[in-house]
Amino acid sequence: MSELRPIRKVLVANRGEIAVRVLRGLADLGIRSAVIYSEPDRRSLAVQLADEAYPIGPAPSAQSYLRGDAIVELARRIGADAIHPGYGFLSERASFARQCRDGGVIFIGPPPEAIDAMGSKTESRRLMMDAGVPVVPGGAEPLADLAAAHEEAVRVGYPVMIKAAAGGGGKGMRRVDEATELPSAFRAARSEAAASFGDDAVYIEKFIVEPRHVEIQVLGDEHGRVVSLNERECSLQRRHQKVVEEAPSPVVGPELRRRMGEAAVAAAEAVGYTNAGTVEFLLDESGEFFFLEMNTRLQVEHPVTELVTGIDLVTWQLRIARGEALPEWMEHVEPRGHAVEVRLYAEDPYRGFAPSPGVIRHLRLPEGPGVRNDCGVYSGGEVTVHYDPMLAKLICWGEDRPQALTRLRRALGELRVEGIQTTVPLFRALLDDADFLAGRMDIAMLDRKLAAGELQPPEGATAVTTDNPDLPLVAAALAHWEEAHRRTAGAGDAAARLRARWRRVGRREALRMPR
Amino acid sequence: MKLVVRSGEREEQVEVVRRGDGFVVTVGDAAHEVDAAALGDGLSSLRIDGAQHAVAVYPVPVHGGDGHGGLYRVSLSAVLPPQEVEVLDPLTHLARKSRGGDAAGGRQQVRAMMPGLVKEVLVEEGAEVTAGQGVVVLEAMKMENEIVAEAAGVVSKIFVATGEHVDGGEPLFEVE
Repeated sequence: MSELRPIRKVLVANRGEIAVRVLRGLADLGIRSAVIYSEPDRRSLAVQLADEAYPIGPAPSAQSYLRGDAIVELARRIGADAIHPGYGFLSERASFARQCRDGGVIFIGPPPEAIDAMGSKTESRRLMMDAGVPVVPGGAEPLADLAAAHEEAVRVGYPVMIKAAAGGGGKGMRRVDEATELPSAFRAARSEAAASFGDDAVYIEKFIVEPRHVEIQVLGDEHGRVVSLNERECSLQRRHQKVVEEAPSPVVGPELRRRMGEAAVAAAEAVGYTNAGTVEFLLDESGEFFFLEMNTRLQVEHPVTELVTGIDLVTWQLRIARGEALPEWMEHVEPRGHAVEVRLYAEDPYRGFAPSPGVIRHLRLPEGPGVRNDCGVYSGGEVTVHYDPMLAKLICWGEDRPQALTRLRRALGELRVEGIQTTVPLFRALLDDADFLAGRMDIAMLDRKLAAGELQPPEGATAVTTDNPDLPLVAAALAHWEEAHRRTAGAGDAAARLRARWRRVGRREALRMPR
Repeated sequence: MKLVVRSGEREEQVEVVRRGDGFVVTVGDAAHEVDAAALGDGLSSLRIDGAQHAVAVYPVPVHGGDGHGGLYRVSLSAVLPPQEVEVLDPLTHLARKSRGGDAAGGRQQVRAMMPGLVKEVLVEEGAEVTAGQGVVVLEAMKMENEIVAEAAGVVSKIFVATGEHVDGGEPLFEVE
């Protein structure tokens, strides 16, 4: 066995729930932890859990969490052997990975070259094609004329999407389901492209009908082994932001799992990938899948994979960075049971997801069988507008999907968050949605349902307490009674008497109640 | 304590009466036996006719006034958005802070909190009063209650005279 690289102290270059997650992994491995914090994060849970904590700047990310050189400099100064970048911030900046390497600090993640390769849409697509990984058929080359368009459309296979080469945003885009529709669609797309971008060049890509977003978790060690830890289903997205994820995917069987896993491993090997990463695919109704992109970091939704595989991804990231080899059994991991994650954002789902910052007056996290919380906040803590509004992830595991969802329903009922609005009511509504319960979903489904006014919270108090619509009135009346009595309680104090809204001037003899 | 409570479309007469360590809270015609235990952070465990509910109630600040004008945000669960519930309390003279209504001019209209007898009118119309100064003495519930001006001002209108019987909710005087 080769000598392991010593990692005795790690600097966590992140915040919120992922910083807490990484700190827990470090504690499990007996590695001393250090965390950076911006001014508003001084009292954060991550700081409270770290062995060491260092200020990195004021609130704005550009002046704090994104200061790569300052972070590497800090790591060297405090004697950290490695930096864990979490997700977001600098985690996918090849330049930061290089700064770490040049500074003699281990970057917990893949080599900068892999980050670069997967960061470029054109380069990654070319690499994937060379590696035999399916990509969305079509090409970015503009079509010379209608004849070329026909040829390309047949080659790619209907339905197709005509897209403008010079821009996006839906302009110059036309879906075409069959050859007879192509001529007019081609003409319309070109003229719209010319009008919008001053360039009528268009190309053709396969139109994937209502695809699912299914991604594969990969792990690669520094000895050449890359494994697939199977898929996650992440189709429930609001404006391209994931809100609910699960593993395994309700529509992926053993054969498809094997093929997608092989493709993901090939993708990772094509860029010399090491450490944790995720290969994202679009999966169409017929079971065909196409490479979308690779995220060269640990992902938000990693817990669902951890729960169905029993593998601790964060500690393995550290172990890989130390030079440990992945064990052979990791080549043959099958999911056990089912896990569903919901992301708690400080947003009001019924006011256009408007941010809801403020002090969390009370937080009660659910617990019990099959319940896991990855939470970055605490009761009394403040949620500010400076950063991503995700507070926590609630993940439930069950022996099968129905049990996972039953536990999620229970957990959402047990959860309390007071003082700010969260996306929790949306998740509760999803648990009553026939499509979601049946495992039917595609990447546009959530936006479609929200636009149609579906997924409203259950009606009033009766949803929670089946028999008492008077509850809110009673609660408010009592709160009022308590407040009024508190105000008049200081009867002995003359100033309090003056503040009291009424005074008893005296009982007249004639009014005395009979004994 | 007799209150008028509004939530959404619903408006009810609500009476809160202490009984032993708990309360009887009557909403409209329905009487509920209630026991309340504070949990901290604005939460209480309410037992209503045996059913338990953990409820969070927070006063909603109303801009431009002191306190919160009787508006509360009631949260029953994380899966429901909270409800705004308004409590109108004639006894503590909380004037309703209507949006851009009479509260803007700082006019207080003070009403009888319960039926009673006007024992004495302490000042005349046009008199200047200080915050907390008594304006009318109302005999009700076997006690004499001095009804005061909430804030300093001028008594612009006195609606009642000594010896008059008044109903709950009837206006007594106005201060501007």
